[in-house]
Amino acid sequence: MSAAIEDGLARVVASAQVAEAVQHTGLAAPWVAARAVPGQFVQLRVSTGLSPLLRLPLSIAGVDAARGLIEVIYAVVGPKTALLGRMSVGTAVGCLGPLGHGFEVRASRPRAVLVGGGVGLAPLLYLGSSLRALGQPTVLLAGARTGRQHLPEFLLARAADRVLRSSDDGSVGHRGPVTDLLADELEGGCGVYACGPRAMLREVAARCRSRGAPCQVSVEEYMACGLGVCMGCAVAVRAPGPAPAHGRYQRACVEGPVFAADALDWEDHG
Amino acid sequence: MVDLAVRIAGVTFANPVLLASGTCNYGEELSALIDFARLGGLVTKTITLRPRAGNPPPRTVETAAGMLNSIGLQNPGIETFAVVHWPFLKPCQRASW
Repeated sequence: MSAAIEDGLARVVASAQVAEAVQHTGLAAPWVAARAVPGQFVQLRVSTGLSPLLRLPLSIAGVDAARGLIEVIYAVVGPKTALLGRMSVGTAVGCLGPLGHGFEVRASRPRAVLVGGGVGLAPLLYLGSSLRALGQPTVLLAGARTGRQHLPEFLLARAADRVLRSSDDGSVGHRGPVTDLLADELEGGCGVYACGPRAMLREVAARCRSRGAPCQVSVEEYMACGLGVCMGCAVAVRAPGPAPAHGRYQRACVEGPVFAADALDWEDHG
Repeated sequence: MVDLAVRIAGVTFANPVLLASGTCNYGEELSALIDFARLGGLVTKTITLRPRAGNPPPRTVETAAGMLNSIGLQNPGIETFAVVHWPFLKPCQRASW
């Protein structure tokens, strides 16, 4: 996979706030668009100076391979996301990718259930549209703290035939965690894909395990290089993998960010 | 062409530019992005006799214009290194030992 990674200058083609403190940015990055699979990410260099020094890792939320475009959706929570969110159309941004091990995208089950919390929905939007293109019936369970933090309908609708929402404050959809919605959907041999906060992923993994549903999760970790060099983004696994992904810890940036839920050590993982 | 070769501890390097330990792992990951033929050498991450799992996360934190890390010398041990990683690095050798 490493031979397909390239570092180039992407250009901002569109950027808009789509929810409270959530930004949606389109980038012209044809080398990424041509090769990416759902679940992979890019590392964006949002500053040409020394601070912030490290790149910003963001999941790919959508791809238009014909036009060489990718989309990212991110919470504006720190200096890097603020810098990216303020970039005007035409701004160049260093873009390394596509990176990481993505979802296994197969239309083999009666139904795919996608479970996302907050901006963890980003990779699921790309995944959902890819599954639907394969003819896979798809349900999206979208959670957020409040209704104002929910992504707009036009972004969610393309990822699923049916969208169910939840919010912690009950202002949109079911009141409570998005995992509450999972029980009714785990029937008839579905496959589950999840991305969001650790507590949410752990709960999704536990529910899937108890019902025998295969589950893939995309984890978020503090990440430095994004290439597998620094070993910074360690994820605890239940059983050591084969070399080079040896040992108790695997790399979220290379062996992940997508893992089989049963492969992770959830007691150690947060 | 200027001869930039340097000799350190009995090893001759084509030039004095070496990737520092920790910045290149065992080389494989950067091979698509960097032309190793232009480097004097690379310093692998630490290799210990036996495998080391490394520290539990979090392992890195970004600082102003930098980062701190405490990986805990995660590595597969010398035997796995020799079998899995050395075949990639071996052809990169140009130094005369």
